[in-house]
Amino acid sequence: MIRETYVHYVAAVYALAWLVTLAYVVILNSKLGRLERELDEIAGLLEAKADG
Amino acid sequence: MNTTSGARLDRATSAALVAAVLMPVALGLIFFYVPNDVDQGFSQRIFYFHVPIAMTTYALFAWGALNAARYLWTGDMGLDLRSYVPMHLGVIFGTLTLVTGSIWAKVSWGTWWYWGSTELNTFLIIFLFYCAYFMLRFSVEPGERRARYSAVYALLGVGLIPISVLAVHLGQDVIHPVTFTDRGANMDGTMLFTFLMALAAMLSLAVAMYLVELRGKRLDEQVTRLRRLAEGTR
Amino acid sequence: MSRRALVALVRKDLVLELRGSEVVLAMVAFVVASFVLFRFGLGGGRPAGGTRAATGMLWVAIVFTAMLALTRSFAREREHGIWDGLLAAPIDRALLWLARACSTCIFLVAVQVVALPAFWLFFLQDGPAPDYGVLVAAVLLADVGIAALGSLVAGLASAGRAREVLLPVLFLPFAIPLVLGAVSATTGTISPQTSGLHTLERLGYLGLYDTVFVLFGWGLFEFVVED
Repeated sequence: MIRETYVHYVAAVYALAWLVTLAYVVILNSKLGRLERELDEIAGLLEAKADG
Repeated sequence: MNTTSGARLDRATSAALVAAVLMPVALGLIFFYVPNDVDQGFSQRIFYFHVPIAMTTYALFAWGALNAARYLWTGDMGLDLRSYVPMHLGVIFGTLTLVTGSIWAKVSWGTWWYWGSTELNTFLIIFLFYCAYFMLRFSVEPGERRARYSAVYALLGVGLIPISVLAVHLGQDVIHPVTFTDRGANMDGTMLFTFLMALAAMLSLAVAMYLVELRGKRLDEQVTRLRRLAEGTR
Repeated sequence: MSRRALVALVRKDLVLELRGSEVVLAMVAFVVASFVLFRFGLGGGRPAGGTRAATGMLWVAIVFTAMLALTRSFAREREHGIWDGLLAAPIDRALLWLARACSTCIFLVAVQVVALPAFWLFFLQDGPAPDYGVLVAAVLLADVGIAALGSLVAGLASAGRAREVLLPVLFLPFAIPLVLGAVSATTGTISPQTSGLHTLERLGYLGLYDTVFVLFGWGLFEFVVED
């Protein structure tokens, strides 16, 4: 009964949902990276101020 | 308010844990427990993911609109974020709904977009509306006015949803000549159980993503505040 | 008191338009030109899809023409700094919206007085035609909805950076259900006809659309104007 092509379609749906979740993690990671850089910069600013 | 998380079980972590338990259970039920549909066979399994994703999208939009109304009522900027983040996630889930719906249309009706399906057409209108919400949000300067305008537009969506459902049903003679009957409407107990489990899994995933993204946005604001302080004290 | 303020506000818009006459004439030119475009787009001599397709096109033309009026909606106030004066006046904010919606509606009707005969001339004079009573009723009902919602959305768009582009983006999702109902109402009267009940239901839908967005406009406009 199972048509071979339909299996591909079903697999595509579940793979897409998985991919979107993964993409979300990647985007979150890039956001965290940006926050990290910004905090570094701010720390640098404060250190420069403390020294000077 | 405690903002340090660590290993403590905060709400985002618990939602993620619930999703982590429910998702494999749902997938197990979908592929190993529920029998093939009599009419549609194996391909009907798309339904157990597609429909929960669509419902999650609607739930996210509803939450966004509710917080928009609360924002207009109270003027609390935190509610602006709680309105924007679910809208943002709703557009992600909405894109996924359109793509999976398109695949289902291909399997069920042999075409990538079936204009006779009232669900697909309604969803398309509402999806376009929420994309427009982003155009508005990105073209207004951040601040109290952007929050107010976004909230007003988000609330207009509450009017648009029933209006669109009605229009698509009334306009069937324009979009498609024959009346469309839904084949997947009646479910037996096993199917309903599987479906509800998938819905719960998808909703808890969305809640986890919502809480994580909200925390990220708050972090953003705090960093901006810190930067202003650090530069100001120089 | 509030009725006098409303009349005064609408009269202000109409007098400005009569003196400068910048919007209505442009809309007439636009709508007639778009009929010509559609005529050739559908294949000149014998339009593909016949009267049905043409009637659908009419609604697209009406929505796009209304965009012109809405884009200019708050432009004059902004350019001449009238808005601050209006806001300083002790007028209910909702009344400002109502006045704007009324004058927009009047502009739309004025344009359609020319546009509908032109449409008949280009598309309907030979061959089957929709019921003209239904067509006019549907156009008037659609005008109210476009003006009510459009005045609110134009206010939102006027804050954006690319406001002329933003307005259609914000408005068109709402135009889809409107056009769907209106096309269904009007093409249903072209033979082979649907029942009178079908048409009545569609016109009722357009009335519901108006009611919903009049209420939204009335309730939400106070959040759109600056304090």
